[in-house]
Amino acid sequence: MIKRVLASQKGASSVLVILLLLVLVVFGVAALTTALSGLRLGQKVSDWNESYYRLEGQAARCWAEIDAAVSRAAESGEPFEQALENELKQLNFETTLKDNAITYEVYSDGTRLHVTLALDMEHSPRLCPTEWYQIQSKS
Amino acid sequence: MNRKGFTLIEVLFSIAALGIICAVLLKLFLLAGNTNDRAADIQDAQVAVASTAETLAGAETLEDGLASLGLVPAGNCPAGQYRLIRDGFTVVVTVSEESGDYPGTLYSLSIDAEQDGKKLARIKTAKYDGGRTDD
Repeated sequence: MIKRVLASQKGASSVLVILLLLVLVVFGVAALTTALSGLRLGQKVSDWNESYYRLEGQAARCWAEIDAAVSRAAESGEPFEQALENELKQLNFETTLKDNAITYEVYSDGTRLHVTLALDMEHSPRLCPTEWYQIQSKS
Repeated sequence: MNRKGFTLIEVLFSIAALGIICAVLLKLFLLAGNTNDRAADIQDAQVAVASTAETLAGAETLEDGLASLGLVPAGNCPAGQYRLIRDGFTVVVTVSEESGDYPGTLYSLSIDAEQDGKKLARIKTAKYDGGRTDD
């Protein structure tokens, strides 16, 4: 019976057409899946970029606050280091003052940005960023 | 001679069935193509926006950054809105000065990439220009 069915050529073209259509459907679905993955990846990269630059902006704002603190300490008339330590304590984020360098970190969405500003004391206190890098936390 | 064949109705039905299936398939491929184009546009817009932000962030001052992008502030203050064409996108850079008692100037930056009036990417950041030039 099976032998007879296989030997017969009736309906062979239909089988070929159906197979061809099936292959085309598989290709179509694969193309759509790949395209959707690309779109999702694009949106994810977009989100990462957005949060990266938001964090950079936050760090720049902290830099401005520290610069203002340094300026106030220099104008206070007290010994500079002591005055700077007091000024830095009043900021609403944590800073570390060590070896003429101020270190701070900002956080957002599981990412932290580490910044070190060197204090250039040659003419008047001036801040120069020496370290500026982001650390992605494991998720 | 064998004169057996298909009737007209049979041929018409097969063509109609194949047409419907092919139309669905064509739609699937077109949708995949459009989605791909959209994904590529979003990624390219991101690159345009990020490279603009890096140019501004890497410059000594915001004025220098704007100048290297070929943008000239209208007055003394760089605050304002600027438009430039980058990688086929219209990049809109909005600069505003943030208030605060800082020795330098703190600018907030908003950088958008548009194409055919559609916003494809946006970055918001800030740049601090340390104002001491006495050395």
